[in-house]
This record gives sequence, C-alpha cells and structure tokens, in this order.
Amino acid sequence: MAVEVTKVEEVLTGRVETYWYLVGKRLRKHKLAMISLVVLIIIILACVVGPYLSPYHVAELGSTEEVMQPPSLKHPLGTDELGRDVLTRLLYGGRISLMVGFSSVFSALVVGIVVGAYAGYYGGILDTILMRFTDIMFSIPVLPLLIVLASVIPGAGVWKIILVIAIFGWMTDARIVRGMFLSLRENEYVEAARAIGVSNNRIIWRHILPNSLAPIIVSATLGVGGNIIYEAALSYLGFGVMPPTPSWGNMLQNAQYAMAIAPWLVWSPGIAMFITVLAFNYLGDGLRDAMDPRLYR
Amino acid sequence: MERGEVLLDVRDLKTYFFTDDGVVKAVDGMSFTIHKGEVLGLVGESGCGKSVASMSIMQLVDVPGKIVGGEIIFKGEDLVKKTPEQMRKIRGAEIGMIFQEPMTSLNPVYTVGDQIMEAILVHQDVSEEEAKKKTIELLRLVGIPEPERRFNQYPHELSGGMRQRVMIAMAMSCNPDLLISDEATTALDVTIQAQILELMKDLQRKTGMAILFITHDLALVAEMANSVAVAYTGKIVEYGDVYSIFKRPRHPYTYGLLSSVPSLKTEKTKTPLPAIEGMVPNPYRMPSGCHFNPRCPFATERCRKEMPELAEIEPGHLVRCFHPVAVEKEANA
Repeated sequence: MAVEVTKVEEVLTGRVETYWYLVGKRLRKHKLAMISLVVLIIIILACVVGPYLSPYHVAELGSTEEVMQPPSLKHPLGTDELGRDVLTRLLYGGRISLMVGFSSVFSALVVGIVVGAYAGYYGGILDTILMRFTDIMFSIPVLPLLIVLASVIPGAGVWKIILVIAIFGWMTDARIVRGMFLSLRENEYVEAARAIGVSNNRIIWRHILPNSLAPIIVSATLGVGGNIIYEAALSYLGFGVMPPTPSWGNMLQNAQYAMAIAPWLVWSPGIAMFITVLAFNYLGDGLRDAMDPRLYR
Repeated sequence: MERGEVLLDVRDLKTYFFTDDGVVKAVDGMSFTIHKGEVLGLVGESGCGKSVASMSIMQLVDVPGKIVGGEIIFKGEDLVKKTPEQMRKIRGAEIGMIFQEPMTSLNPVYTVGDQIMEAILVHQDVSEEEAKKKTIELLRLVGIPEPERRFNQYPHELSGGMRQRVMIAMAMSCNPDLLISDEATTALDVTIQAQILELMKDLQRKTGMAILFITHDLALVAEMANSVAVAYTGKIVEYGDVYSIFKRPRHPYTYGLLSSVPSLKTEKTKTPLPAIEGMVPNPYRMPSGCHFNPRCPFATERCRKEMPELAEIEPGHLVRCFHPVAVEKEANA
C-alpha cells in the first residue's frame, strides 16, 4: 500500500523519492530534532562569526576595575578573574569545543570504519584479530592512560586532545560498522557485484558502505555531543585544552575557584555545553528515527 | 543437432561445506558439458547442489564451503586453478550470471544506469561517456522502454520484471560466452516469467552465447534447453538431450519428477497427482548405496549397497541407475 501511495505522489509531483529524500521528510516531522538542528546552527554560526564581531580580544586583559564584574551592558556575561570578556571567551571557546567534538568524531570514525569494514567483510582470522584488538582497547582504563599519553605526546595543542579522544573513541564505531557489514555482505547485490567482477575493495567502499551510512551518521551525531563532554572532563583534570586558549571545559575548570563570588563564570560555559550536547542528542535521536530501515516504505 | 566445440567442461566437481555438525557434500562428483551456443538445463529439487555448482563455476563459494576436487575447464583452462584476480577478470566479462531475487540483486543506493555502467567500466577500457551510451543500448536491448529515463531511476522504482531485465543487461554488458541463470525467473509471476524467458532465448539466438539454465521447473527446461542434467544430492543422475529425457526418462527420479507435473489429462481423470515418496535425505546422513534408494520404488539390495555409475544407456543419454525405467513416457507437453 505504502508503495502505491508514494508512487502516486511521485507521479503527481514528478519527484523521485530516494531514501535520503524520505529521511529528510521524516526528520522535518520530528519537532525536537528540528528545534535542536536550528539551535545547533545558531550556536555554530555564533561561535564561528561571533569572535570577529566582538569588540574584545579573547586574551585581552581588562583594567583592575573590570576584574570579576557581574554581567552588565558592557560585558553581557561579565568578566573573569583577569578582566577578560566572558561572552567573547565563550564564543571562542565554543569554536574550540565544537572543533574538538567534530574532529575527534571524524578521526575516530575513519579508524572505526576501516577496522569495522575489513573485519566485517572478510570475517575469519582478520575479523578475530581486529575485533580482539577492539576488545582490548575497550578494556583499557582510559583516564590513567590519558595522563601518560598527555605527557608522552609532545605539545599542548588542541590537536593532541583530538588525537587522544579519537584513539579511545573508535571502538564503538568499529563494532557498529562491523555489524552492518556482517549483515549487508550477505545481500544479493553484493553477490551480484562479485559476479560481475567488481573487486573486494570496491565492493566494500562503493557497495556496502553507502548502505551502512544511517547508523554511522546517528552514532557520529551523538558522538559529537559526547566528545564535547569528554573534552570538558579532560580539561577539568588538566589534560585538555591548555589556557590561555579557552574551551568550555577549561572555562568551567577555571571558574570553580571563584564559584562563590562569581557564579556567572560557571553558568555561561555550563549552560552552553548543556544546550549544545542536549541538542546533539535530540538530533541524533531524530536521525535514528528518520533513518530506521523498518520505517522505510 | 550440430554441436559446437566444448565451452565449459565440469569434471567430477566436488564442493563440500565443512560445518560444525559435519561435512555437507553439496556437490559430490558432478560432471557436465556445455558446448558453444548450447542451453543446458540443470534441474533438481532444493538442496540438490545446483546453485552451489553454479557458484563453484564462478569461484564464489564462501567459507565454510570449499571446492575439494574436480576440474572446471572453461575455454580450455581450469577455473579452479585461477588466482582470485584472474577469476575477477573472467566474472562478468566471459561468464555472466543472473540471480533468483531481482528485488534484492540491485544495490538500492545507486541508479540502475550506474550499476550497469559499473559492469562495463570494470572490464572495458572505455570512457564514462561511451559506457553510458552502451548502457542505454543495453537497456533498449533487454526491452526496457524509455531507457534514457530509466537510466537515472533507482531500483525501487522498477517492477520485478524490469529489475530482472536490468540484471540481464548487466550480465550481457560484456558479451559473455556463458550466461548462468540461477532460478532467474522463479521469483517472477508467470506472464513476466514468459517474457524474461523469451528475452533470454532471443539474446541467446542473437549472440550465440551458451546458457547454464538452473531451475527446479521442468516445464521451463523443456522450453529453454537443448540438453538436460538432472541433479540429486550433489550428483548428476541423468543426462541427455531434452527430447530423450522428456520422452524416455530412464532414472526413477526423473520419471517421478515428470509424472508429478500436472497435465490436462490428470485433471480430467481426477486421479491424485503422483508424488515422489519420502524426503530429500539429510545432508549429514546420506543413505548408503544409491542416494535415491529410500525413495525409489524399484530399489533392490544392490541399490542399498552400491552407488551406481553414470553410464551411457543409449547414445548421448546417461543414467546413474542399476534398474533404469524402460517405459516410454507419454508425451504430455
């Protein structure tokens, strides 16, 4: 029935109903996900453009009268212990936090997809080796190792944090991708592709991967939020983004010493992070519902 | 009928599956020959090894399956000895294959045009432009109306029959010498099935390719094939040209299969349709002697002890039976 209905719509509108078109259509019906998407776009735009519009520089120190001032017209979110404008730092820190979130998810995804794809497609010994390695990575207590890694890897740049988060973040993706490949490789179209002489690599990347994108996208969306929290935790322990570069994580850490006298220093990065992570989670949920293959036709 | 030179010679092929519960001899000493331009029908029930035989020819048998013996001589060369890379170049280019499920044999995320183009681009050194042109020609060749529009459509926008035509276009894209059709029309309804068969016959006449036509449907074999091989539990039990098999089936199994096809006569007399007693034996516990003996009305002590050889009973007609049926079957087709 559903097929006929969509067919009729196709004829009427002359529009081809591809899978992604249907996903978009269903996502638009998911109110919470759409609100989240709008909120995220606003946050991302503000973080990207904001620091250019602000009259203050991130590391610009204020005069002694401007130290730890509560929110005012001049400084809408107040100033910190060095007299720096919190709003400017919040937007700039958002850039860093979002960049850490996106880049670490992307790097982890690349590793996870490669490991999962080869393990799931070839199976056998390769699968055993790769998945046992994944299990080992999963069972490593991350925090002690992070302390070691933070001292071993030279430099204090943001890239180090991205790398560290990615190294410990690819295993879930690898398992998801492996699971998808295990079931998708049994599909007749894979057999058919082999029967026309398509090479294994081409089958993996061109035929199976595009069909396993849905759970990967969902996992990545949820992952961005998770990794923002992760960065905050690392920064809180002093292994994250190093000041004076602000991130939401180290702004929070910085604020704890002055919590009693300057609570606005905690509220701004805390709420920013809360809203962002929540929005990523709702968007991820919405995408999961929209991409559910059981709802497809 | 004048026969061309031998294109494919399968000799004593053995493909076993090594499972935790034991070894399944899916194909156990199968031999058959396909000449250039010939259509060989490979018939049998589910589980008789006909699909595994076709996957063995393509060298696409996956673990736990393994070809443990025999030769597959294609154009004078043994496919079993080919490296995966050599085999990849043969698949699609020299041997094409169509599958049972047209609904799922196409990748849902690419347009049908893209998928046929891929088959061309993998094997031929042509530009995308030429490949696209050739794809549209192929779509026209397999009887798809408005090929230019269909080129950009996704599989889910096509009907089952259309998709099977696309699969045939893919298989035909490099002018293969051999087309393997593994139950290619089983999933289609009868009128579409007739159209697809007609298309395959037509293409076969035009290009002179050989077809290995795998099916469980005897009526289709009678319509399509020049020769017939009847498979049972991984072995060929009867082999011959289509007329002698349908006119004078000598193996009790073939005889039983032919009798269980309803004809206009059986309906008139209201007699129940004769069926072959019993079940296909458990692949883990094959009966000793002739594998058909528990179901065979003519089985004797010897049948329970010894496996008969595939022997020529009349010129070009081979039977694996100690007690071949001597009755002439009334023509009911």
